[in-house]
Amino acid sequence: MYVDKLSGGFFALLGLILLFVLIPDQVELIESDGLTPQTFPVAISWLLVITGCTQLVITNKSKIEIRKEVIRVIALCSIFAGFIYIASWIQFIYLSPLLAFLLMKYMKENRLLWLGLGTLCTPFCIWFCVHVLLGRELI
Amino acid sequence: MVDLATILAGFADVFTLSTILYVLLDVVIGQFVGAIPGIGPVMAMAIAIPFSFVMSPLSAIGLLIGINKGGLVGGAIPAILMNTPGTPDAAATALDGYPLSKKGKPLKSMKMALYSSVTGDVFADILLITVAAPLAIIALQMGPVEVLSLMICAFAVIAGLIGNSVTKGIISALLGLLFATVGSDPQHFTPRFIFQWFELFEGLPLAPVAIGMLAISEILNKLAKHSGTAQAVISIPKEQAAEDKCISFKEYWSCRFTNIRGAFIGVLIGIVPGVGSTAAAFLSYSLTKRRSKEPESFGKGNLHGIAASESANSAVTGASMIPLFTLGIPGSVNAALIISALMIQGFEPGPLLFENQGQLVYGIFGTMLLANIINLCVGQFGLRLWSRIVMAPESFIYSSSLLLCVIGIGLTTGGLFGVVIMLIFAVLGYFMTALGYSSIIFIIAFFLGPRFEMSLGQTLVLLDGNPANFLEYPVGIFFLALTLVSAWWLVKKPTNKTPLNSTTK
Repeated sequence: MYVDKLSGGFFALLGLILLFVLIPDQVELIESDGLTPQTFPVAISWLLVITGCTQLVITNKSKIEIRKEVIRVIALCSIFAGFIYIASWIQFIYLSPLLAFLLMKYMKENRLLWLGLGTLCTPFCIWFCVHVLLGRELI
Repeated sequence: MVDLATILAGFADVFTLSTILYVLLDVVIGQFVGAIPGIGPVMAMAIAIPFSFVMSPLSAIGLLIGINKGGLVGGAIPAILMNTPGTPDAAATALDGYPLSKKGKPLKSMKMALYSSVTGDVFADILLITVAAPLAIIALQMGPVEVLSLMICAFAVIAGLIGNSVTKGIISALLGLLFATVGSDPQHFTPRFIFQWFELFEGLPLAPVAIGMLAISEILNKLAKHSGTAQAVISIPKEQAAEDKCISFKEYWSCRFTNIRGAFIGVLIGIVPGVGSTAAAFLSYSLTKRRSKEPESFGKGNLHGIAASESANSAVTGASMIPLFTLGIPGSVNAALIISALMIQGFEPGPLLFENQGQLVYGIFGTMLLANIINLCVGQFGLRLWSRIVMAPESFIYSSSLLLCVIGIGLTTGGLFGVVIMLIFAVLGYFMTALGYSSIIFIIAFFLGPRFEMSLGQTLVLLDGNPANFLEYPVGIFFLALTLVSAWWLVKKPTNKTPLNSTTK
C-alpha cells in the first residue's frame, strides 16, 4: 500500500461518510428553488469522492513509513491538549512556564540562560505587555 | 472612484509618529525573524495577527507589511552566511551569496541582497499603487456570474501550480471549501456541521484556522525534527577593506538591468495567485545567468546572481497584493494573512475597499513605501547584528512562538475555544503537509468559501436554471475558457515537477 493511494482512499471514504451520514444528520433539509443548505456540501462531497478515487487509482509513489516524527507530533499534541484541558481551571499564562520548560527540555536545551529566558522571561513579557500595558484579560 | 483628497489624506496618515514607530518596529522584527532559519515572516505574521486587533487598522496592516518586507531582507542573511536560507525565497540567493561570503565578503554580499530586495520591492509597490484602483473599478463591474467564474479560474490555477499534484491540489481546495460551510448557511441561515457546539454558529474563525494550519503545524514539524542550535559557519571579519564590505554605486548601477528584469519577473509571477516568490527568484536567476557574458562566474559569488534573486522574490510581495485589493482573492499565504487582519478589523477585502475605505487603502500603500525606506535604513545598520541572530537556539524560538500563538488566539477569540480550533487545525495542517496536500490552498479556499457559495447561489438564480443563459455573460465565458486552458496545461505538465510555491514543503 502507498501513502498517496491510502490518502486518496481516505478522502473518498470521507466524501461518502459526508454524503450518507454527516450531511443528512448535521445539515437541515430545506425546500427551495435555488441553492439549499445541503447543495454546496453535497457537491463538495461528490467531488471529494471523485478526486479521492482518482488519487486511489492513478498514484503509486511514496511507500508508507510510520516515521518517528509522526509519533513525536502525536505525543506533543497530546501534551498540548492536556495543557489546554487544565487551562479551563487554571489560567494558561500560569501554566505557560511549565509548557515552555517541557518543550525546551524536549529539545535538549540545558543552558540555564536560555532556559530562564524561555520559561520565565517570555511568559513574563507576554503578561506584562498584554495584561499590564494593553489592559486585556489573559486566558 | 477615489478622489485626490482621499489619496493624499491616506498618504498623510502614514506620517504619524505611532505609524512610523510601528513600521520601524515591525521591519526590525521582520529582519530579526527572517534571519532565523525556520521561522520566517509567514510564521511571524501569523503570530502577530492576534495582537494586531488592539491597534488602529492602518497600524495593524502596517505591522504585517513591515514584518513581511523585513523578513524578505532578513531571510537572505542565513542564506549568505550559512548556505541555509532563512526563508525559501532566499534559496536562489544562497547560490552566489554564500560563495561570495566564503571569499571573505559577507557584508558586501548581504548589502547587495538588501539593495536589490528594496529595489524590487519599490518597483512592485509603485506598480500596485498605479494599477490597483483602475483594476478595482473594472472588478466592481463584475456580477455574481463573473465573480464565480473568476474564483473557479483562480482555484484551477492555484490547485495546479502549488504542490506537485493537481489531484492533491483539488482535494486541498475541496477541504477548505468544506470547512468553510461550517456554521450558518449564507442564504437560509440554518446551522451546518456545528455538532451542538454553538460557538460554531458563526463559522470557524479565520485566525485560529490560519495560525493552526501555518504556524503551529510548522512548529510541530520543527519540534519533531529538531536539530539543535544553528551555527553560523562564516563570521564577519572585524577588519576589512571598504570595497569588501560595501557596494559602490558603480557596482549597484552595473546590476540595474538585472534588478529591473528581476522586478518585472517578480511582478508578473506575483500577480498570478499561488505561484510564489521562490519560483520568481529561480526564474530571474536562470534568465540572468543565461544572458550574462560570464555565465561560468555564476555560483561562484557573482553580484548579479544575488541581485537577480533578491529583486525578484521581493517584487512578488507587492504584486501579490494586486489580486487581494482588486478582487479580494489572496494570491499568496502572506496575502491570506493580511486578509485575516483586515477581517479582524471589520473590513471586507475586495474592490469595495477602495470605495468604502479609500483613505485606509492609500494609507496602506503609503505604509508599504515607508516600510521600504525603513527596511533599507535598518538593514544598512543592522546586518552585523542580524548575522549574530542566526545562532539563537531553536528551543527558545519555538517554545516562545507557541506561547505567543496560544495567548494571541485566546485574546482574539476571548477564550479557549479558539485555542482548541487552532490545535485541531494544526494537526490537520501537519498531516496534510506531510502527505503532500497544500495547507496554503486549503486556507485560500477556506477564506473564499462563503463568497463562492453565495456567488453560486446568485448565479443559479440569474441563469434561471438554463445553462444557455450563461452565453449572455462574455466575461464569465472568458474566465471559464481560461480555466479550461489552464487545467489542460497544468494536467499536461510533467508530474515530477518541483513545487513552485515558496511555502509549500
